[in-house]
Amino acid sequence: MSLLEVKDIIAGYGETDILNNVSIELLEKEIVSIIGPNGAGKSTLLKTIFGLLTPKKGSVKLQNDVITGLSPDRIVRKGMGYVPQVENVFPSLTVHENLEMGAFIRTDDYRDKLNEIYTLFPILLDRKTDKVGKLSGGMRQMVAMGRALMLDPKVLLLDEPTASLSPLLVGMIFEKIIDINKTGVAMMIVEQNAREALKISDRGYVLVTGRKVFEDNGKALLENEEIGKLYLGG
Amino acid sequence: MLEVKDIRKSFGGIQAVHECTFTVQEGFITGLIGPNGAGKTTLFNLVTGFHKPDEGKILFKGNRIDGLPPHQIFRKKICRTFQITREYANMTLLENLMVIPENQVGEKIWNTWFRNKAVREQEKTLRDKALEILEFVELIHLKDEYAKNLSGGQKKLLELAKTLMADPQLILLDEPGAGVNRTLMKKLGDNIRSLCAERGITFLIIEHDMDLVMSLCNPVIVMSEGRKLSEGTPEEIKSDERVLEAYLGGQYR
Repeated sequence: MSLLEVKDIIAGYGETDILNNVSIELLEKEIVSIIGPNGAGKSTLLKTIFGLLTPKKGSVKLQNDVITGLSPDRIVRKGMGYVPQVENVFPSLTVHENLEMGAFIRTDDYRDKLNEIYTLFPILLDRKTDKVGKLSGGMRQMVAMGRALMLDPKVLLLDEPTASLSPLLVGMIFEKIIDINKTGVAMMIVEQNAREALKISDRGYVLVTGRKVFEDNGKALLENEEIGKLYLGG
Repeated sequence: MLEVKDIRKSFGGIQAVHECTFTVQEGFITGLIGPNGAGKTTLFNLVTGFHKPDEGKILFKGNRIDGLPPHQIFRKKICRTFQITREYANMTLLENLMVIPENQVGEKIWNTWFRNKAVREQEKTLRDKALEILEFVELIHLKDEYAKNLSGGQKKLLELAKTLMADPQLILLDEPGAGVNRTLMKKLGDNIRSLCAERGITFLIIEHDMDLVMSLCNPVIVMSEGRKLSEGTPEEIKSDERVLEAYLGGQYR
């Protein structure tokens, strides 16, 4: 069943249209990557899905429920999480406070959820009371992902989760993505580390100047010579 | 060309850079790698005058530059880019580049009235130069776009373009590849190589993409916990057990 369905989206900033009739979908428990050159509209697509940008045309459906035009706080409540590319943590708050901020709208007892996140990212437990601004890039990314998970999302959107991370951490973040996915969360990932992302993806979309030009399963995209030459660095 | 000697810098109680010593040879592309939080960006900030070192010396072509403010270091033809891009959001790409050179004729009100030919001529030279650079980083189709409308990766490219406007002798690049499409990154690597070979520009590059570092940089310096951990050719670095442990991880073994 289609968990997230994006249909014929036209969206942009001011007069400029960044996305031209983009249709994509995310099935339950899937990992899907969106790849493409700079300025193709990948981040804009995630922002549109999450309600940070209202499309001029087209629809976004989450579990057959139309969410087009809803504000991000409403969309969060419907079970979607989003980790932006930059400024995705509160640097002056501690790790623990950041995670608690993620549960801001929860009225029930979320201690179990906190424990679950510390089990997923044991390294964060050791740094629980440290201000996030002092942490390295990799740990910040884990805090951001952990915070997005606090509301038990069914869908998680990640915008370049491994940009600026050391090779060791890139590997670690991708492992965490697989772990999170195993708990039943479907993921949509925008990545320039495209080869690594496609390796763990069920499917992938190639976006170029606001249009979807190609889609296939992860393995086929990796083996496609033309895609490799144009977008994966040969 | 650049010598860093026994540099120390701490913030509060935290030692960010700890007795760090290395040199950058003129005409080479030197890579600076290391785990997140190793002190690489702090080192860039020290070299470009954004921080003052607590101890140690920094020499550029034999002259001490530690403690000088950023604008004076810029005048010595040392340029840098930032990890978090700093563009003039409400100016076009072309304008972003054209404001870079200092002491332009048109900055004096006298000149704008009585020497307007000279002002126009200089503007034309600068415009041509800016267009050439935009072509070089493949942003030429966006020359009249406002910088705020660029995507994350495109802003990275604009950062590089801005440094080139200043005719630098040494360029420090802080993660030029992060968020840049891999195919374009490869091309950027080629362009950096030709800038080095043809115009004699020296580079010091912080980067996490190992394909780029290993194909572009020689030598490579590895930092860890504020210290230089190792230095060598890409091959030596790849087989250094300590580097594998601290930074590269299993896939490179």
